[in-house]
Amino acid sequence: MRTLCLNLHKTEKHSVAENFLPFSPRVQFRDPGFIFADISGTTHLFGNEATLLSEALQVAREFYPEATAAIADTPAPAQVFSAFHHTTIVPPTQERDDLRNLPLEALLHLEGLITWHSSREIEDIISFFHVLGMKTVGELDRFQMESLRERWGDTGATLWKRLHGIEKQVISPLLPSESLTDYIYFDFPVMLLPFLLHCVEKSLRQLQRRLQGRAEFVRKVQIHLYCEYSSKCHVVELMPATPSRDLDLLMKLLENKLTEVDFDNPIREVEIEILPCPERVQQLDFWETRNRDRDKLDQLVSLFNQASLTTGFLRPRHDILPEESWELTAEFEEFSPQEDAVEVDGQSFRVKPSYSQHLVHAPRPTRLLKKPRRVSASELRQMHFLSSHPIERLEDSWWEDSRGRDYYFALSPQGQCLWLFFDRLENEYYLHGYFD
Amino acid sequence: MLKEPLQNFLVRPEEIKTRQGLPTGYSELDQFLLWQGLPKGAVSLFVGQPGHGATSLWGQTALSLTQQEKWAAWVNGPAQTLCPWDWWQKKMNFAKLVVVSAPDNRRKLLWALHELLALSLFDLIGCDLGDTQLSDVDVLKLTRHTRRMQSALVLMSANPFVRRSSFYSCILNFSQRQLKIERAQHRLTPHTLPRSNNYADFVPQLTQNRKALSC
Repeated sequence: MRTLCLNLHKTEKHSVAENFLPFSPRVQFRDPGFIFADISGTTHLFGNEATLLSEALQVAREFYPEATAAIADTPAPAQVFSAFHHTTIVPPTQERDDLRNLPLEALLHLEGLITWHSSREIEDIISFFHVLGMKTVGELDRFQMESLRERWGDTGATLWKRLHGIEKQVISPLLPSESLTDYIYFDFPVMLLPFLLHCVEKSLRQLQRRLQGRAEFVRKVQIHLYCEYSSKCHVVELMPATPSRDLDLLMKLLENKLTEVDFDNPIREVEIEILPCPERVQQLDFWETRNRDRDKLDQLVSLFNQASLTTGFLRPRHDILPEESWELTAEFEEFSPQEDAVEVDGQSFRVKPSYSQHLVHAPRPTRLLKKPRRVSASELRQMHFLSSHPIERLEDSWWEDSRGRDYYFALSPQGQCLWLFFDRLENEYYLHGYFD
Repeated sequence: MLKEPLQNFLVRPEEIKTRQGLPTGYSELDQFLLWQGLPKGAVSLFVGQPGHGATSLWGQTALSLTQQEKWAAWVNGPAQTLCPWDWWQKKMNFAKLVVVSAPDNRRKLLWALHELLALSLFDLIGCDLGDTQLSDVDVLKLTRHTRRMQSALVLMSANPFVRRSSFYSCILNFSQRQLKIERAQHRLTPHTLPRSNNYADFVPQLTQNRKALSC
């Protein structure tokens, strides 16, 4: 077995092990800040052990700049090397030789997945060997296991086994079960948005790294901001249009949301929770173009939706009323005009006419008023109607609240080309659009 | 005498490259403008009451762009929206046109424009300003963004007294009978062009009065 040991040099939570899942499914965390990974079956994916080690260190140093790492045959010597040499790869079957040159103090780190019962006991063992005039680990080779067991019991036997690399320490596969949450407590209440964003970004970055390890995307982020001077809590929810792990997008969404929050009552605690969803596993065709435009648009739609701006593609609809005859859709959908249907029944056939098919070819203005504006009698007198008869008569379902509209083209005194309708129920003219 | 020492600093005429433009389809206008169309990497302003053809000019530009599989975006104004039917009949590729609903205020409008530009996806962006007045600083910021992303941003205003910032590369004023080019870089302005009615083809009444409606 080849073992990677990462020494974070910091007390951490168990969940940090999820960050290293891309390097091996067999990852284990050990207090206070050690990560052990069985890389026997995954080294070839990275090319060689050196590449794997440098990539793992890069991930570790993103949050723990002092992190060190080593690769050895068994976990205990790997831990020793990570403590004494910052980055080391011990070639297979050579760990015992490399251990020999280390000082006796290295025994304190010879733990691996299972810690020493008491470090005091190991310190006593080291002192004992010092008294005998021994200085390096290699000098302990002359002792048999039984001699060490006789003097220090099971600890002595374990020590001998670890020195000879024959202690069985198995790294089990890591099944991520911890929730994706983080908690920030400020020593002082925070009113400054940039500072708050900076702190939240740090947490989100860590959660994003865990998501990457778990091969999951963000479906929703829920942030609770607890105020200092009351029990008030601002709840901010971020939901990207499509699940992703894009931190920049999440930060933009958050910034937009937080600009609406009043920080007169400053923030003391922040709770972040991510609701994940499985990563899309997409097999890309070799000839298929990688469509980055789609990702950019998804990002834009998410961003604008958070700011209450509807964004999307125009999709015409088969609806009689012009103002309801299209919609904005996040995904582009092809529009095909309705056509008459022909039903054949034996020797006979029946044509089912589509009543809205002519609407798609009817003249429509380029700009439509969101709400038709009533035209006053004086305005109407100044307008020049281009026909005495209506160009088009629109009437929606008679069983609903049908109003009936007669549409006309007209020119305003300023020469604007207008689209007007006469409401037959109200007997009033309304301006509905401009041929701009 | 001076030619040789200055040789390395002089630029040959063929090396001078003007900024790219997006052809509007209005040949007289395209020929007049240095960019042979709406300038890319710059902000243009269309002034004119609705019904005088500003949207059509933007739409013609967007139509040819989308048919070439390039992206265009439109930001609606507070009172009016872009009606798709006319463009559908002209076979605009709606798969390449993104429409944004009207932002509530000036700040949000500027933010939306900055985000659209930052995406570096759209070759042409149109925006109905409504009653919004942009300051010189706002236009300058937008100009810097458009230059970086090489997009053509067209702002439209129905307000005849809208602020004509000196940072606009091109200002077109639409009226009933003519199109007045109030500003166009490296061109003698103001310059007027005749305007014909775009809708004369499908409104028979306008066809009959085509002469009367156009200059």
